[in-house]
Amino acid sequence: MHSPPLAPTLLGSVLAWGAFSASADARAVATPPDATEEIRVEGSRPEGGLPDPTAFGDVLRVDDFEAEGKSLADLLSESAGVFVRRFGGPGDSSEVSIRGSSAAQVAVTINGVRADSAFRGGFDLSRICLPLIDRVEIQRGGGAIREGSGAVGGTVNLVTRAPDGQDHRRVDFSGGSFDTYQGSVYLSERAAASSYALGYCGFGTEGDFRFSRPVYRGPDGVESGFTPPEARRINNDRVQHGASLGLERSTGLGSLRFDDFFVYSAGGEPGIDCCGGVEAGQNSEARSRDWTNLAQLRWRFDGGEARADAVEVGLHHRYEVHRFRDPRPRFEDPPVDVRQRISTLGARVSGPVPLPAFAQSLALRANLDFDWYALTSREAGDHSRGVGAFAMTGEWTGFGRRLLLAPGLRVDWSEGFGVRALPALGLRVQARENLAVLANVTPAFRIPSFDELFHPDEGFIRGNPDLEAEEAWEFDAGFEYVHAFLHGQVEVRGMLGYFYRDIDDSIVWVLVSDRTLEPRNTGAARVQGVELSTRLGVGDNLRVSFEHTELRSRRQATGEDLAGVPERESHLRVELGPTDLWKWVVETQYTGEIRVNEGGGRRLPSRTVWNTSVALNLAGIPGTGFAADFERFWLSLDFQNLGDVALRDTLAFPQPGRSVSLGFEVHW
Amino acid sequence: MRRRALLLVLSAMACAGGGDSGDPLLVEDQPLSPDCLPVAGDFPSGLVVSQSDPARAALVQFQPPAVAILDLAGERPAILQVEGIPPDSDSDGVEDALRSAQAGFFPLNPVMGAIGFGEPDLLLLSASNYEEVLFIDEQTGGRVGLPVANAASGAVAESHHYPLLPPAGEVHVRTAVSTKACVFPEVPFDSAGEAVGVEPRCDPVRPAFFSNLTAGASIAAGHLFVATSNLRSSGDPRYYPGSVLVFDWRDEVGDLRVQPDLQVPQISTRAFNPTGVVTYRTPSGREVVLVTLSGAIGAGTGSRNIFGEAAVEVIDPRRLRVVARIPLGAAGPAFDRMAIDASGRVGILGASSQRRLYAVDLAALEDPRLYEGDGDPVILDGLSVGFPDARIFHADAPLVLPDRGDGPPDSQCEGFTHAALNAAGTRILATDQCDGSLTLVELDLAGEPSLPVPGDRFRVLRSDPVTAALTPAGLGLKQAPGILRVRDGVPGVDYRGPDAFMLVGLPGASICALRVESRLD
Repeated sequence: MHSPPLAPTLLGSVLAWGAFSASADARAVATPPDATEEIRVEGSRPEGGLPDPTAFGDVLRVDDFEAEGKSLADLLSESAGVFVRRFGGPGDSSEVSIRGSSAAQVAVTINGVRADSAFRGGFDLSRICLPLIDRVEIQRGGGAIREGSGAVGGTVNLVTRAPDGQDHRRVDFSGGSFDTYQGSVYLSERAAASSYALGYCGFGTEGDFRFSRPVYRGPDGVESGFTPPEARRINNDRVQHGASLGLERSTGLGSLRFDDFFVYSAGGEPGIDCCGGVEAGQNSEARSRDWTNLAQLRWRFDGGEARADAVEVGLHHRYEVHRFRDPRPRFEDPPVDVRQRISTLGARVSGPVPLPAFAQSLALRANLDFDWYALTSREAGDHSRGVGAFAMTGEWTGFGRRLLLAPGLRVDWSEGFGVRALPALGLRVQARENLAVLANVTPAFRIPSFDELFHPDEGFIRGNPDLEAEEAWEFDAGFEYVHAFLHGQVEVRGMLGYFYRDIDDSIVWVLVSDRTLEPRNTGAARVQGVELSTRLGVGDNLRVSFEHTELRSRRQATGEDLAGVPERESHLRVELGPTDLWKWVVETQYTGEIRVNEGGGRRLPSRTVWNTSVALNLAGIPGTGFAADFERFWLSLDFQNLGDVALRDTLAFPQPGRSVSLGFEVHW
Repeated sequence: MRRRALLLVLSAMACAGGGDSGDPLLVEDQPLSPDCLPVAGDFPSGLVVSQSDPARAALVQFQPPAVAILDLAGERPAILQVEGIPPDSDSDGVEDALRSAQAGFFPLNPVMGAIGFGEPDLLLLSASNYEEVLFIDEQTGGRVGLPVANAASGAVAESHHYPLLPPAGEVHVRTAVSTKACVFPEVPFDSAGEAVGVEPRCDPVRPAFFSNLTAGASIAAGHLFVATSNLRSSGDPRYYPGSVLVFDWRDEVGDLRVQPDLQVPQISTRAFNPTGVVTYRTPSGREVVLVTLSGAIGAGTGSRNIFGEAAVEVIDPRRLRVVARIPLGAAGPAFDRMAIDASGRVGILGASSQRRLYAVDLAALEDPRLYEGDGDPVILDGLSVGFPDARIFHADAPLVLPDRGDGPPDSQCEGFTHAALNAAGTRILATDQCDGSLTLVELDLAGEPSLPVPGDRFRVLRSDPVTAALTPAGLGLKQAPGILRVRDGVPGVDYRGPDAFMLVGLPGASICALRVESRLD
């Protein structure tokens, strides 16, 4: 029941690092520097692609979006099958949904270690400062074989900037609307057999913005709105600090790497736009503060060679603290002051499974995972949970490597929720040189979060300790193509896929009496849809991408629509200019109607939002003096929501209208 | 130089703030079924059918706060007009939140509650939080300005006891009367037995508190009676003593002026949590005010949600005192005002936490001895010598409504009922928010039933599902039927349309028409 304390874990990690690096130093004398030059330790994930060769998804490199002022939410929303639900403007919470899932049905990892909240489920995208991230790996479809509980809609892995054996420095700063400022510093250096990467990111916003209040229109065309029709978001300031640390040490046996990712966030909590009056029912005094630290230590035993089949041993610890205070009492109740602390201590061992010589076309990899979660909460009580799993993933190639079969099996144990065996199968057929067909049948499940189980009984809301785990399976199929013509000057890449998911016992907070909200298993539901992704590159001066998602969801018992996600969404991005000198990006995103409630009787309107940014690389202009000192020196100007469209992804949380920011980004 | 100027311009643009989302955010509401009209927000808080035109009704939208005037003639109610409640709801020239902050409270805005008739063409709309009773034009749903004044000099109450009423000695035309008032309880202990302290803004010595949760309101004998539930703590539910604020409404010559009554500005209730208020005229023509006291209840459901005794208290509006009490035990009656049959014999109450009804025999109020003297109220439970038992159904002997066969088990769905009577007074209609049923109970008052009316004069006819039960299996379907109203007139003779109307809370608010007795040919 006791949470593994943060300090000893961190201390242990650092001591282990110190001890290992001392012995490594001795061996480094005999190790030629070049032997470690190319090593990049990234677990079993191959450079450049998704870990699962048959899965649908995207790998988004943050540097491809340099000087565009994007957030993680912006980046994710540009991917097919992904819907980002925002609860406000800069610094406000946002969460990701994949293929119509809830936020809790997406497993989010940082460097392969679970980062989503064990307390409430889901992951707040706003807590990630994008300049600290190197790339974002989005895998659509059930990812339970690798990630276990929660990977129902898909997985998102955030790979932090890591020591890459080269010296690199990066600074950026931007300021914009709503008194929002963000700056980051990153540097990585190599020293002998070691290298390190250090990043800091700060963010601050006053956060207040004007917004239009909802106007309801019934079937008779009569409209009913609030007076006044506009309000100002108040108490929406936020300050965030993020830091990342990467240390890597090469030895003759392999390599040791320590990563730490820290986020602190504090600010106002205006709550929902709900009520009459000029302040729209917002809370002018509530505040929240949270911080998270994720530390990870990994040994990779590959004999000093960058082998994909290396054995890895990893330890990780995550500490998550939330506090919410509302000094304004209701009636004579004491002020609200809620705190939760969650500590997660885990280990993972993975490595290749030796196979006889005749099975050379088959590669098997085994994973052994264990995590221990401990919640400390005055309100919800102290609770703990152990989870463990043994997973095998394989790749079999045949027919001249045109056929790839990727079977998988996970045996997962979750304390209180028993053991389950999850088989999966993926297929990739390279039909032609530029055309591949993919198909997957994947299982998924989600264990209820601590909050869903143990939310204290406050009369109007309570947890439900009798919840069952969500169970799902998914089928998807489609093809990927790539085609280059005009001597390679024009390249087209694309993907078209269909997916179908059955989910049983999905957990939804529902009214179980007229006044009491409680999470319940809600029976069977079905989600299916189509995803299209096309990218076109013309020389170095034009890049166009288009993503589209069609989604249909039904609750089996009633035939009614599920709420919260649009039936269709499209994103078009046009980027002009040589990327080493200037670029002008125009983006438009169409989001279809969003069902506010189950059954779909109430809908938020469809909308089209236009954004644009221009950036100039001073270091690319000869004679300016910047070229000699800097690799890149961007000045950028970014406009969001040019049309000043009233935006909401949920009825109660307004988003800002038109905004602008100005910034610079320097690499050297 | 030009570059520097450009940078300055861009910096200024960047820091100048964003747009204002100039386009309105239009939220489309589509009907859940052909007989339902979606209305804005969730869980509408009130519904009243017009007395002058039974084909019209006024519905209180919870959010955006507004009164919608409805046409009930068709198979589906239609909205004729919607009048929003502005930030300065009482028209005192200052936005409510600012006004309450100026008066030393948190910034407060009105939260819409019950609605009922005050006078012909005038509706009274109760609002809590900012605490007021709004004056609403029955025809348009708009607010009506009436002369409102603070406590007169020489009155029992002092003007600072009503911090949101006009200054002493001034009469202002306002669209609401503030019910934010100092309450001086007769018995200064809350529902948990804890003493009521001193509220310095009211009185430096006497125990007092400011009223909250403005509930039912009604007019009788030239007075406006407003119940305030006075919740002290919501986390661990505790209530201050209940109060009924008394305002003068019309003087003897009929001139209207709303101000705290000179002699009896408030009446303390013995039970906690006064909710529904209705003016009742006995068959012999005596006017009384019936106040439902729901007792201390929590925010949950079931018998465990009920922490105290409930009652119906009878106020003599001429002498401004409680003359009788009908104890109901740990019943937790619903907050809607009492439904009374056409003959005036039986009053019906729903239940806030269980699937049952309660009933009282109003014939007991004919006894003139109740209104004599200044003694304690008569307890009409059969134990007061010489007085009858006015209880027909109460906590120990409720009218239990049948469980819906395909509904959730009792442990998960213990009920929250609302009741209405048909125009003829022969049938009780009762909805249950939890299992989504509509139960019909036959009421036989033929002959001269003994007092109290025997329970066998009530017979459950049938129970039909009118919405899905409040379970996950019903997600997306109509759920949570609530307040129920029936049109005046004889179905099929006076009108051809539906005869009953219920508010539905999920998914999204609706008002749905029902044909209970008005069957289609």
